[in-house]
Amino acid sequence: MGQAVGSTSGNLEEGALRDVARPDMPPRDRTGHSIVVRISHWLIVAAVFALTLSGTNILTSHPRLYWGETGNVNDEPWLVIPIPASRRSVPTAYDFRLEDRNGWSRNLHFEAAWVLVLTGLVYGLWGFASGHFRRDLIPGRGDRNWRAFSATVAKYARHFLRKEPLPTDEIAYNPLQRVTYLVVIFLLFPAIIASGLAMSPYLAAAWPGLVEFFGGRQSARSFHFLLVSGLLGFAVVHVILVKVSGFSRLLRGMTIGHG
Amino acid sequence: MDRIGRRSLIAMLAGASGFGMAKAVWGRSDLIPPDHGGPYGLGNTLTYGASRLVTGDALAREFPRTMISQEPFANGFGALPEAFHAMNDRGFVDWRLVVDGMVEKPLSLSLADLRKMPRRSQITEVACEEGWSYIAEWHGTPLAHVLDLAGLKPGVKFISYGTIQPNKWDTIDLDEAMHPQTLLSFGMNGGALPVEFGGPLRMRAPPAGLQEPQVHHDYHGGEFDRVRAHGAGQRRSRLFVVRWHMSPPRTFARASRGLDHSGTLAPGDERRLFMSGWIRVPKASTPSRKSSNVSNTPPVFGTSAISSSILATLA
Repeated sequence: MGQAVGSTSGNLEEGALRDVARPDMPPRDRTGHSIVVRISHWLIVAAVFALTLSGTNILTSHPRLYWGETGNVNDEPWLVIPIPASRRSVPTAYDFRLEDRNGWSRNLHFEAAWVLVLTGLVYGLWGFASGHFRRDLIPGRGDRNWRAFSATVAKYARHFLRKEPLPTDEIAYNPLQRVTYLVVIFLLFPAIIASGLAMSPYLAAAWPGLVEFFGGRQSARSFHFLLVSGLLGFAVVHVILVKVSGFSRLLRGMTIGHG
Repeated sequence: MDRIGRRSLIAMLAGASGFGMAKAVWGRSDLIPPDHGGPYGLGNTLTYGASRLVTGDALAREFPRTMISQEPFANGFGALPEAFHAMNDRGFVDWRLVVDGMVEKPLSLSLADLRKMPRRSQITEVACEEGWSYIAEWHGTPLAHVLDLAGLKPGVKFISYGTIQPNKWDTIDLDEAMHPQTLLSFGMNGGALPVEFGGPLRMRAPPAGLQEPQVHHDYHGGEFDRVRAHGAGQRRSRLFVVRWHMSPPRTFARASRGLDHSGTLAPGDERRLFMSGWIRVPKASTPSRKSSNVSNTPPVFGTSAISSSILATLA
């Protein structure tokens, strides 16, 4: 992942002008992302970091997960996360107790969640309005098939297994990458936010259907954990693939806006 | 037309919805929580305001009898004072709920008085912010009824309630206090309310947004003996320390951090507590960092200092 994205029209024109002015220059590396993508990307990175940190802290209050509506230490969990707890009442494999940090953790969790939601809304609206999703993320007509996906997988497999170099001059996301980003943006993040909201007593009163959709409050909590685990897994793979595709070039593209 | 037109259309829609929201929020000071300042103020304000707007006066979910938890979880609380055990031994006949503060007619109610009042039973979920939950049937009298009997003076905004333990108290705002599902609960699952679930009387406040105080309350043991109404113009932030358990003002956060549920000091906590400025650990009894927490004379950590400061702001 992390191959160059098509530049905004402004950048294209600028590049085109420069190419005309300096025909001897090599083709412009169009790694640059639009200012909206760059700002929202890093705001979301910061928010997800804060949410993960505070969420882990909150989880230490009760590192046990249940299915259904209710669950407590008298019930059978489907998963006991092997971390120490910050509550004496929760049995763990550790003989010590962490500090209770629910105070600032919950504060930070909700505040960072607002950053995530508001940034996501702006990005989403802009993405539709600007044609970003259609142009950069939805796979081209010829690429909406397994052959396109498997070709991408094979390319990376050859790189990792046989040390074949990856092409570094691609200016568009590959089909698999596009679908992955779409899944993260339109399925994973909304589901994480919805399962988090389903745990809110306010919203459970207002929208009981949301809790029922997840199969109960404890199920929503379990899904929240599983979906976030999926998101963090994505983040790890994402960073690895940025690394193998040219870390500093792509990092420049996502910060200062050009390779 | 296409791109520019779509862009401006979306901008117009966003602007219109933003304007609509601003108009709905404008002048609704009840949508601004008391903990709107500080580094987490923005998040708290958005969460509180959005929750209020979305939830309105919706009722908390009530469940069928089949969903009542077979083994509800009684969250532990620290050692109760001797006076409590004495009252427990006598069946709480001399226990009284005092309702005072900004009321026309201060009340002192026995359990028998409360049981004679209009009663409501509801099967609701106790959902702790820690993550655990259970469902039980609760029996009690609506807090609104008791507050009506006492007659709230104009300007009351918050209701605080204290427990027999001097540093265990909580605050809810008037909307929550007057909510039909907010009960002074003296019964659970068809019987009297067990002490480990907050007996003889607990605040049971399942509706929208009441999880925080409820949880905090539960967390600290349920019994309480004083309800106090108070108005605006006080030093609210401190009052809301517990109402907004998720966002205690820093002073109290520092003080409360490190206190375990029984209100005793865990090893290594004395320095932090000492630095908070709220809790004064007498030097003579300050346990050293190296010593274990097994101490014959638990350090006096000044619960009275906290509670008197807080009560001063209530008075």
